[in-house]
Amino acid sequence: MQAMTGASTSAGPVEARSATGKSRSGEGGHSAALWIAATGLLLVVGVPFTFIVLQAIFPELGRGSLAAPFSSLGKTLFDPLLPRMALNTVGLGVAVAVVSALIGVPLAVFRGLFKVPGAKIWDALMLVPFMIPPYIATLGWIMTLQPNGYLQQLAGFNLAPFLFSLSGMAFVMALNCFPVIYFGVSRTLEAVGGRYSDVGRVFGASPWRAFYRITLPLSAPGLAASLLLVFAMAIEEYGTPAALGRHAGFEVLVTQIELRVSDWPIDLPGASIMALTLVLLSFGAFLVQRRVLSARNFQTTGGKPQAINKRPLGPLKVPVLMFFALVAFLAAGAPLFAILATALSRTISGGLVLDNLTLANFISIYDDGAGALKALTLSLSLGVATAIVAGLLGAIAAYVAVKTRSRGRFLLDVLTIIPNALPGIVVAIGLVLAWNQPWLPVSPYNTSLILLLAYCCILLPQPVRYTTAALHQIGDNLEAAARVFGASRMVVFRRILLPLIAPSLVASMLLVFAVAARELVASLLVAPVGTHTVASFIWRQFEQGSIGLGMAMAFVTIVLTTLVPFAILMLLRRVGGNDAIL
Amino acid sequence: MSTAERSTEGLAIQLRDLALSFGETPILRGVSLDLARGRTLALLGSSGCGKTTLLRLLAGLLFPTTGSVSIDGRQMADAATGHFVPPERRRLGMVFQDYALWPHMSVAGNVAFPLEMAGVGRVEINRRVGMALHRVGLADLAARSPGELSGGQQQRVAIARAIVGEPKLVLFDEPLSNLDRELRESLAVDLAQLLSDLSISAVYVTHDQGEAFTIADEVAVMQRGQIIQLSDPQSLVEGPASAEVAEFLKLGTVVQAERQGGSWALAGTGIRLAMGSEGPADANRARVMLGRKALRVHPEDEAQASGQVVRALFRGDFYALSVALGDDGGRVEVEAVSEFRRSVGDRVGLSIEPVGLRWFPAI
Amino acid sequence: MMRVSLFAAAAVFGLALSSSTAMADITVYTAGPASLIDDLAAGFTAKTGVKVNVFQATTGKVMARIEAEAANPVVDVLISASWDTATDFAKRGWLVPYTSPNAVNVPDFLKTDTAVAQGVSALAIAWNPKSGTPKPADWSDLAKPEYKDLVNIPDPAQSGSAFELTAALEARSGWKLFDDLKANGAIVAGANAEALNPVLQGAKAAVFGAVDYISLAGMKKGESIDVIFPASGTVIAPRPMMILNWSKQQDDAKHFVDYVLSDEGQAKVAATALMPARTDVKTDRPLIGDLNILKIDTEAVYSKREETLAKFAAIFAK
Repeated sequence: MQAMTGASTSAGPVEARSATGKSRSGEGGHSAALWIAATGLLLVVGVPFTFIVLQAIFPELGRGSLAAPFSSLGKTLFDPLLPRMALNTVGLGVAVAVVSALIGVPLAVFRGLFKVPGAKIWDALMLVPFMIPPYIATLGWIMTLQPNGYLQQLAGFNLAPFLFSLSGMAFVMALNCFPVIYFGVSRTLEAVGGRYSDVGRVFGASPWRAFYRITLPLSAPGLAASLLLVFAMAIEEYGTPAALGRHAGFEVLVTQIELRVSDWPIDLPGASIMALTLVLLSFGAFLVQRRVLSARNFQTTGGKPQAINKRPLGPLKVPVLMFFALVAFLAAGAPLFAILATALSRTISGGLVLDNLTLANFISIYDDGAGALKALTLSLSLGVATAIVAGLLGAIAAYVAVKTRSRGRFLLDVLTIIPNALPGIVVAIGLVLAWNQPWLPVSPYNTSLILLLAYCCILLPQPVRYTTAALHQIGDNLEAAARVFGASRMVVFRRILLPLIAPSLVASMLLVFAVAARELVASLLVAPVGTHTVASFIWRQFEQGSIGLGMAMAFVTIVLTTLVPFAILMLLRRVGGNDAIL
Repeated sequence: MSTAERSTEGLAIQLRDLALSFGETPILRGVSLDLARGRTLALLGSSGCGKTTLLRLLAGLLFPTTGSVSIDGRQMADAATGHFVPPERRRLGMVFQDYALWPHMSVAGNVAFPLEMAGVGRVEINRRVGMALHRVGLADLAARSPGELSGGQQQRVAIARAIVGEPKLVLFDEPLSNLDRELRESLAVDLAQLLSDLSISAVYVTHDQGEAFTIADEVAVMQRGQIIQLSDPQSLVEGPASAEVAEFLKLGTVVQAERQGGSWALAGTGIRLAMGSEGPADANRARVMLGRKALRVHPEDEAQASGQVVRALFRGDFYALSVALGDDGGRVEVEAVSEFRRSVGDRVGLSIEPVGLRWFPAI
Repeated sequence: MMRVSLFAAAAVFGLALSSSTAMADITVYTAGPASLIDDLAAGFTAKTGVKVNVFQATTGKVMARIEAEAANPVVDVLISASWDTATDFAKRGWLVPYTSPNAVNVPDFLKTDTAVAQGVSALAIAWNPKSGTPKPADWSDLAKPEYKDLVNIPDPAQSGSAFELTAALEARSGWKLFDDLKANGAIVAGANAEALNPVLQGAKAAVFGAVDYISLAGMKKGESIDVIFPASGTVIAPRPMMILNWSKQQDDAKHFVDYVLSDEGQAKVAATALMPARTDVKTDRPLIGDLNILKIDTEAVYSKREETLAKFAAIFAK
């Protein structure tokens, strides 16, 4: 008799499982996607990674020889420097993550739970630090804070002791990384915060207790995931530790790897082993991140969008706005000012005075004397090509991983995880080793394609991450319905899934574009003879002592890489009326 | 099975020994059935009984562990030979519980999709989409996005999409369960009309017997991965094959009965069942279903049995009562209907009419 | 969707096309000034019609690239910033013996059978006159209290010429000068330009051992910088040109070397404020003859390079 009362419940767990259950129907139809993803990932990720491992084992690999395996392993592994570098690297990663959290979390709490005036504008401003290449921002900070820098010229004091220290380095890097936390945590808080803490308050919790007991635990996985992402970004970064760390006597793995490949005689095996150490560190961070993310199943994004009820800031309004303004100024305003000031100076020693002002550097970009326009064209087209190739490959790989149960999934999973842990410099070395073998009949080496391969490998995790999340949100029945109504797997992917993940995919592709257009480390190492990308052009100007020209180029690039995605977004919004992007 | 073996000619569906397990867990355990063309079969059962799994096997979204599936005379899946026709080549229509309308297409775009996949020309698509939308009363909303529609409207779009391609078979997966009750009832009536107008074969999964009886020509009651009864709605109500079917259909209260001397009594209560209601001749114990017509509520002193009201629900034009019969040693609760107001704790008299009794073997 | 993939294919294809290089081109790897090699390449192409592909980076990066490409090398002509490269590569037997007819006026110490200097730079003190410090005259001046915390030293691990200066000064008077510099707050600041930039802005007053031509070029641009060659002596860094023996365009490579040593080529060298390799080419900067060159025993110095660098690093890591 009791059984009768339960008759009106909806589908039980068994049926839910049957909906996604293994289906023989897939095995044939998936093979195309599986093959594309597997081939693409092997080419883009598998090949360079394999060669790094081989190089670490066979020191003579560069000469096409497999002689004396493991001979350099011991030397590098027992180098007393290695543990110190590893420790410094981890220390820097943690410091950057902590400082980023100190900046990003309060901002995110206000943005996610309260009515902050001009919220959309603040969001846009917080995106700007992403667009400023970290090495440029660092140089900007040096020129601002060092003795006689712009700060001293304007305000009469300098902050050199702070800048050239571990905390200064962490501060500068955090200003570049904190948007990850700001956007990640504020979205999470927006989704879980208001609603559940209201419930807590109904049951008698004060606003603060509701925040600590309900909102904070619910957003903890999102916070942890962003922190680990920042950690991974920080331990891979080259420009800032190279420029600031040396002064503080603070060497990290990346700078040490760079030294090993740029100090004659070159130690490629040693660099490969250090690179693998770095890979191990990032991989550890990535595994923790995945564990954390997979545990966040209480955050279901499905269902109808809830009206988000944000609280007014009340008396906090002015201090909070001042906080937002301060961070935006430090992260976007100050570096942009330093870049522009340098770009507009006739001489560096002339300082910030009116008669030192000149457009000469910008004019020489347009005159194209040093190949600036060529470099810009190459970088922008590489950015577009990387966005398209990495975007499509990432989307297909994510599709195979999320929506199918093919046997090759494990391999694909591994191949999409590895680039998370591969710093640009490692990818570059791997690509050179792989594609410059004498027996290859054709090779992308010494063509721009090698840059495309490098960028795709470095940036592949972005589209994979974004589209995986989007695919998880698409109900299985949308796919099943299309199958039943006569669409093959390919048609389902093209007509149903791709349009539905398009907003996330486009967002990730824009990010890929912006980063690829200014990538430095791999570009320096694998750029074909006679070609320059924006970043290698700028770097060359710095090395030649033409800082002003380098900064002018940096400014033009920042403006272009910001405006192009913005224009595309506006266009998409007008065409599709889609508000979901960004 | 009630339907006799026939050749697959003229059959919309033929299932043979169909079973599906996920690892060690059996979901469906050996289902065989035939459905004639143009008829509607309802799969009725509670959560986890395997009805949706059966539907997905028909759709080709799952592959059977054993057994075979034929649709419209064509073999679609056979576990023995590994033969399998993927869903897109089965030419089906399907309506999902969550509607599964594609949010990035307009209403007309959703409905046009099956025709596009079939390679129908643009002009013909427009004509048929218009007709299908007209049929479900949504001709005005063709250009809208599905997200702008109410739940009922969305499900009408899903129905239009399912029938627009004039499929051989339409599958319904609890299509109305996300709607509120009034809408559910009116849409069920519309749907029944639509199916009989179009004389399409259909399989309709539901846990609501009202829906099943409204729409289906035949109803298969499922439990634990098996069909426990398959017949037309009327025979189902009049002749439930087992106590489980009777209980699931809420036809009445099933209680234990025992032979006391020459006649039968409700176990533990001593309440005798009137003459003319003979239980199985060769047993001393049995179960008996007390249908609604079998129980009459009277003032206490006028009845052959009496009990205490333990629940009373006002249903608008009558009261649904739960009455405890017997003493503390052998209490039995039965459901009865009263036209007059009764409150919890009231004592009432009950008479048991032989006409509404149904006998089943003891467990 | 179809259109996007077509576009991707077109973009990829276009990239491949735009960068594929014709076989007749020659490839030059150089550590020299970027503007100089661009000039030389353009001039050579105008004269001969042979296109020059240039890879320009620091000596270290150029070496890294050659090492990584060892299995399938593409470089025809290498111009290093360190004479040591020429010695080392000759020992490995990687170089083509060639004496350019235009090398007649290149002094003997700037050429061997397999290498010849493109030009020469010297190390100097680069000093900012607006720094409020007295003009230094000798290396040891920079250890005086007036320059407390105001001196940058290019890293000898990253700059070949900085290494040679360190070795030469150490050979002459031991490590005391470097101990004093460290005690006076001097810091090691990356490669050459990296060390110079803070001096231009005024964060530092002087570079101890700046590559002269970068500072001289800055001076021409109007930067507030002065270049002082200490009377007590300095080191020069001849920039050797070499033809690699795996080159498939050895004739064109030889023509390129000839061109660099021609009147036109050497004028371009002089224009970048480097000393021309040929003594008969006029220029308006101090030449080798005007400088007191510290003698170094290259063989001995490079044989204990690691030791010297370790000692130097130990002093400045304190």
